Amino acid sequence: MSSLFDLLDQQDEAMQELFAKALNLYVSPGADARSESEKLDRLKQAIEDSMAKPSL
Amino acid sequence: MIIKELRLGNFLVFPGEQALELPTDGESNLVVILAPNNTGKTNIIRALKFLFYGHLPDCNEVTAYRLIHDGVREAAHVGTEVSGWVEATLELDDEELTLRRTVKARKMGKDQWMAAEITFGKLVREPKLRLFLDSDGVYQTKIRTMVPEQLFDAFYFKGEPLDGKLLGGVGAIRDSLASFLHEDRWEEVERAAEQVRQRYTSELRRLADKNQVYTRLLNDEELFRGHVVKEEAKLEKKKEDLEDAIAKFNELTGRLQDLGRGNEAEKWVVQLRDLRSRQETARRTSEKADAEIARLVGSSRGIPFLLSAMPAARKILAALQEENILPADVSERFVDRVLAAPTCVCGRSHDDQTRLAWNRYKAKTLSLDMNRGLSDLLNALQDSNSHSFSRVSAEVARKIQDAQARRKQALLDLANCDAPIQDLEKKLKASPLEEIRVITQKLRETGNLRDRLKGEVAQLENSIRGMRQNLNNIKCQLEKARPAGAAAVKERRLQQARARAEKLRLLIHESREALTRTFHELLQQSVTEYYDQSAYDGSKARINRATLLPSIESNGQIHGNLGGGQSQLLALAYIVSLSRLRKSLHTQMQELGIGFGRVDDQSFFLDSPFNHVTEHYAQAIARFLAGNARQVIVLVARQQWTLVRTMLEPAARKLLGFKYHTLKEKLKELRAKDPKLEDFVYDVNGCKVSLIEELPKSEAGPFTTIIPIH
Repeated sequence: MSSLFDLLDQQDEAMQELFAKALNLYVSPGADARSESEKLDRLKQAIEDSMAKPSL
Repeated sequence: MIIKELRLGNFLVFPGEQALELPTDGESNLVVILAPNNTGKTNIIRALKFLFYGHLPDCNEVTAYRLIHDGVREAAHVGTEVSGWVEATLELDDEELTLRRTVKARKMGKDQWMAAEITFGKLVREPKLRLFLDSDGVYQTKIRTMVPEQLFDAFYFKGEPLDGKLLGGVGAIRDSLASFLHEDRWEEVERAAEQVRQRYTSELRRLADKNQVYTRLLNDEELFRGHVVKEEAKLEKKKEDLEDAIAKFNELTGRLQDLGRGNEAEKWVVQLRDLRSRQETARRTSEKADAEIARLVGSSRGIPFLLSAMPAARKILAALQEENILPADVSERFVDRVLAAPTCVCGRSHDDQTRLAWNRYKAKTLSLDMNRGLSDLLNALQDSNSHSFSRVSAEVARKIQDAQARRKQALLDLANCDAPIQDLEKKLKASPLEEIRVITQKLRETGNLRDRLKGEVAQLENSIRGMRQNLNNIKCQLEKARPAGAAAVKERRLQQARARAEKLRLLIHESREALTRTFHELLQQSVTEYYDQSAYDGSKARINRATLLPSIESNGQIHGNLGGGQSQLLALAYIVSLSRLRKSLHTQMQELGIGFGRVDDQSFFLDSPFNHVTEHYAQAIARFLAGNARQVIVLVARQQWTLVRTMLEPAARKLLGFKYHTLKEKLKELRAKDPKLEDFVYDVNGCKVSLIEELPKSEAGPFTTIIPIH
C-alpha cells in the first residue's frame, strides 16, 4: 500500500491526525453502533480540534 | 481465520463424533484428505458453511433435520429429539475460540419431523459444563467479517467453483471485494466531510444574514465550487480512461514489438513465394519435356531405337558388297539353275516364253533393282549423307536425351523445393501473422481513443482552470465583503474550518483512489507471479482495474473463463493473493492507528481442485498449493491423486482418509462396476490404502469415518 502511505506521509501532522480520527469514526468495527448525526458531530469536533495545529 | 480443529457430531454422512485435527504451526500447512467419490467431500464444505452462516442453499428450517446423520434419524423413536452439530476451533484475533452450530429436530413419525431448531455459540467452559453462547451475535458478526458469505465459495470451494462466479464477474463477488477495501466506508467518510463543510457554509450564511453582498457571493462560490467538483470528477474519470488507453497502447506496442522481434514471417513469405514459383516453373518444364519426348518418339517411327543396330547392319552390308555376295547374285544363280533344269519350278517343261521371263527377271529385277536398293541402303547408312538413317536417328536420340535431361532436372528441382516449402509453411503456420494483424487493428483503435481522450482531458482542464479563476475572483470579493467587527473573527474561524473540512474530503478522496489503485497493482503483480509462470500456453492473468476481478488474456483477447485448468489455477492464485493483500492492508491500517479490525491468515478448503484439469495444470496447482498459503486442506478423489501424488505426498503435513462403510448389497453393486474397488484404493508412500469396508448386517449404513493415514 505504499502509495497511500506516500500520500499520508506528505500530509502535516494536523491532517494525519484528522485523517485517522475520521476513518476511525466511520471505518472501525464499532462504527455502526453510533448514529449518523453523532458521527457528524464528532467529525466536526475533530476538525475544530485539529485547527489548534496549523495545516499547510 | 485458521482452523485448528473441525469436529462433526452426527452430521450428514459422519456418524458419532469425528474430528479433523489440522496442523497450524508451519508456514505452509497442507493437509490432504483422500476421499473417494461419494464419501463426503462436499459434506465437509457444507458442514463449514452451515457452521459459519447457519443455513445452506438447499436447506431450510423444515428440511434442516436432514443434516442430522441418517443412521441417527432412522434409529430415533417417534417423539424423541435428535441433533447433529458442527464445531470448529479457530485462531481468531490471536484468540483461540471454539464455535458450534447445532441442528435439533423432533421425530413426529416415519420421515416426519418438526421444524428444526438451529443454535450457534462460542464455547464457554464452566467447571462442569460446556456451553455455547453468542447472546449479542458478536461471534456470528466476527465470522461474517472474516469470511463474507459471498466469498465463502471462493475460500471453501468444490470442483470447478469459481468459473461462473469469480471469473464471470458476478456482482456479489465484486461487492465482497469492495468490502475487502471498505470502499463504502471510505465513501461515507468523504460524504461526511462534505456535510460538515456544508454545515460551516450554513453557519456562515446565518452569520452574514444581513450582508446581502456577502451572502450572494457565498452562494456564487458554492455554485462555482459545485461545478468545479463535478467537472473534476469528470476529469478524473477521463484521466483514468486516458491512463488505461495509454497503458493499453503501450502494452499493444510492446506485444507487437515482441511479435516482430525475431519474427521473419515476411521474409518467409517472400521465400515461399519464390520457391513456389520455382516449383511451378520446374513443373512446366517437366511437362514440356514429357510432351517433347512423346512427340519425338512418335515421329521417329522407332528409328532411334534401331540406332544401335546400325553399325552391325552397315558392317554386314559392306561385307556383302566386298565379297560380291549380293542377294541378286545368289538369285541369278538360282535363276541359272532353274533355266538349266528341264522343267520350270512349276513342273512344266521350259519353253521360250518361260526362259524369256526368267532371264528378264534376272537381268532387270534382280541385278539392277536389287543392286540399286542395296546401294541406296548403304548410302543411307553413310554418316556423311545428310539424310542418312544414322544421322537422323542420332539427331532424334540427342533431342530425346536433351528432353530427358531437362525433365530430370525439373523433377529434381520439384523435389528440392518440397522440403523447404513444407518447412516454411510450418513456420508460417506457427507465426503470429494473424495476431499481428489483430493487434495492429487494436493499436490503431486504441491510438484514436487515446488521442480523443487527450483532447477531452485538455478541454476539461481548460474549462476547470477558467472556473477556478472565477472562483478565486469570488473568493477575493468575498474577502472584501466579509463581516466586520465581532462577527469577523467568527467568520474567519468558520472559513478556516470549512477549508479544513474540504481538505479532509480531498485527502479521503485521494486516499481511496490511491488505495484502490495500489491494491489493483499489487493484486495484478501477485496473481501474475503465481499464474503466468505456470500457464504453459502463454496466457496471462489480468485484473480489471475497475472491478478488481480476474480474467485470462490469451492471444491479445481477454477471456473470463478457459478450460484445461487455467481458470482453476487463476482462481486459486487470485483468492490467495486477495486474502494476503487484505491481511496486509488491515495490518498497515493498524500501524496508522486506524482500527479496520484485524484480519488473520485465511484457510482454504478445496474440494477436488484438480477436476477436469489437464495433467500439466493439475501439477501446477499442486505445486502452488504446497507453498503459498498457511492452511490448505485438499480433498482428493483417487483419479486425481494419481496425477498429483508425487507433488502432494512429500508436501503434505498430514494425510487423512475418508473411509466408506457400506453394506454387502451396496458393495456388490460397487464391485459390479469396479471389480477390484480400485476407486477406493490409494497408493500412498508405496503402500496400498483401502478406504472401503463392509459393514456387518446389524449396522446401518452407509457412512464415512475420518481416519489418519500414516
